[in-house]
Amino acid sequence: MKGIVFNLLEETVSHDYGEDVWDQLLEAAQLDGAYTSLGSYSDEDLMRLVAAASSALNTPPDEIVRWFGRSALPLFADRYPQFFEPHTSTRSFVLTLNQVIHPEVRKLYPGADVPVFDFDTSSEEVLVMGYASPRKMCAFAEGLIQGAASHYGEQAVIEQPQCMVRGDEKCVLEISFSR
Amino acid sequence: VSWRSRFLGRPQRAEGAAPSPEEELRRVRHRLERERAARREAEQISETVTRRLYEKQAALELLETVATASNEASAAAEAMKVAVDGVCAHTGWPVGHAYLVEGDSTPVLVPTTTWHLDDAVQFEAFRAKSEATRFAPGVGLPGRVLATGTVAWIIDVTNDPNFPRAAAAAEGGLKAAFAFPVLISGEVVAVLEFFAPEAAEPDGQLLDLMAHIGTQLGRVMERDRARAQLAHQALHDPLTGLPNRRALIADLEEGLAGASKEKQLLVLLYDLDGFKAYNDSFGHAAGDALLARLAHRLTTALEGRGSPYRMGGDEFCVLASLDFESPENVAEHAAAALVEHGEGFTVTASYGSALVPTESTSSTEALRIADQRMYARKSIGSRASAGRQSTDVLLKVLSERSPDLGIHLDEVTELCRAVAEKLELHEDQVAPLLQAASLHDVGKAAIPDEILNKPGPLDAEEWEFMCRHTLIGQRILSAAPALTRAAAFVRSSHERLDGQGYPDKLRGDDIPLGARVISVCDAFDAMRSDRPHRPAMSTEEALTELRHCAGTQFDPSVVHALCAVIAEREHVAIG
Repeated sequence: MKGIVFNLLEETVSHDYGEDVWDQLLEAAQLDGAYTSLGSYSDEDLMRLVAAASSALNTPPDEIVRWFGRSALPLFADRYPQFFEPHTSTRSFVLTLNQVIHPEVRKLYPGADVPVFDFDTSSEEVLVMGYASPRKMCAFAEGLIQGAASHYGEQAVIEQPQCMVRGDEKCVLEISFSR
Repeated sequence: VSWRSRFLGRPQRAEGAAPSPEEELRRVRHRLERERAARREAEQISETVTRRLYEKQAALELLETVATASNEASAAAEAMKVAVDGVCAHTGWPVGHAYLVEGDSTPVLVPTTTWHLDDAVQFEAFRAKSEATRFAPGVGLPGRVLATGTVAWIIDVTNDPNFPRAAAAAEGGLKAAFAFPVLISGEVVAVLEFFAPEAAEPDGQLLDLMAHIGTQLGRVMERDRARAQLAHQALHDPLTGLPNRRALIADLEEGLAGASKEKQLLVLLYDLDGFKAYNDSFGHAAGDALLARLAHRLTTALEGRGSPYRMGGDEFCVLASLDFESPENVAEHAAAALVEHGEGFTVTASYGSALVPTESTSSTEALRIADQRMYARKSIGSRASAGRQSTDVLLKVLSERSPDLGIHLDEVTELCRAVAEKLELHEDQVAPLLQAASLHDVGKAAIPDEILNKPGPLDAEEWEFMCRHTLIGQRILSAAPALTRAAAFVRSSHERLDGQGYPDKLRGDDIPLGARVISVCDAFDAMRSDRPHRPAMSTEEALTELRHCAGTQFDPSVVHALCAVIAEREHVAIG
């Protein structure tokens, strides 16, 4: 996992719950917590932080991850406005993930293991997005999409008829946007 | 006291009480924030450098890919395909396409089938439109590159006034575009173009990279060109530019495969007569120049008829498929081209022919037969001239065109003159007619005496030989440029109105009028003369016979004119 994700997690936790909570999470997860955006760190670190947060806040891990995605999106928009500016809707922004955003991520962080999504755009109303990753972080994607919807002044309703967490081969997100 | 000693010489820490815990905490926080900001900045600097490195490396990789392909590809088209794919992968643009330049004096861009298409269905209309469009310099995106020899960028092709494919591009959802030239020492030999689904501002760095790729591709194109030149040299004679013996064998083998009884291939071998004398008199340089001139004439004469080759020395060859013409026609046409004649020299050509596959089914055999026949014909020619008036002497006479030539009128010539007058032919037509009339039998000089004076009827082979005298007559007269029109009349002087004559089986008005006049006058004169097998006919009998054959063998208007001429003469004679 890229260091930027840990940096953003620290920022969102500190912002919403205070710096002390971040310190407590690190202690509970038994991590030293020195992360730089330039580095790569074990996926396990993130899982332990999520688990720690889950038990500290008495909230399911997926819920924690979803909250993280939603809260991290404004920080992304702040750091990388060039990806957000050309779009006026969440749908068109999300559709540039494979072609524009993730290729750029690879330029900044060589070796970044970004997920590849498949899209079914045949319906105007519902965007169908497939996701398959050993990290099984579909909840993070959900949170980010909801955060993006807020960014564009929309609401996103997301259903997951298939989910890797539930044992399916891949996750399928059916997303409908409304203003 | 300097500022230095004042500032550094004393301890910095303010004297007095230690800071309160709150103050201490504030300072620590402040320090932490500074550290965090410094880390952020360091990360950002590093990201910028990493990104730049990434781009540089990607550019290098693309260049290396194209350079490797340019070095290893056996054909330029392969390297071009690698470049088109590579640039699309590098830019993430979904469409790439290549053009080749054709034409030296007025270059034009011809679309190739070398494409990169991310989605064949989405871009089908654009592909079809592009492959159906050729670009002149300055026209459209590739035309701009052809005109300037440099890269070009269009922010949005659907809004560009000089982009003929705008509708097809809009259909495929294409907007931004750039193109760059493939150059061989400054000359544009190909153009590659690329398209993106979004409008985009020009990217100078990218265009610099594309210019480098164009240079790399130029090298492989140059190598291709050199290879093509070598291949051309291997199959062509440098002196005349004609395909050589090796090319002939290859073409003949290929022709053999496709030839059949219905679709025959004619092989003609030509050997120049008088070339050695020419070389001896004027030197080898002049001889070479003569060969080049003859080769050029042969090429022109064979346009649409067949292909010329130079076998070496003063030997030429012709391959012709017999779709529309008789073998004799092609052979004589080529022979007439291989003639040059001037002060003190005459160069002509003898030929031999072979038909594939009826006479031979192998290339060496066909060439051997043609060669044998050529030498047989050469010896007939020299025997005949030994026994009779030498053709060389005759040609000499013709070449210097004694003033007597047109005045020396035998009976046929005199009749022709009178008929021409009756037909009110223009003076321009009368002169060649009279020349032809006096020399219309000159080709018989080449017919062996045994055939010419044979008392009984001729067999088929002898008759075929006999029929050639008009062709030979034409060739002899063709040697003198001033007799070109007369030569054509001689050639057709034995044609019949109904198409049953020789050598071309011409019909009606296709037979030159001069030849029709000679034919009637010649027949009349022959019937009025004693022959070994019959006495001379009377004037009345001869005229009746002519009238009888008017419309089938003879031109009725010419027969009518001759009858009028004779009637006037008899009247005058009686009177």
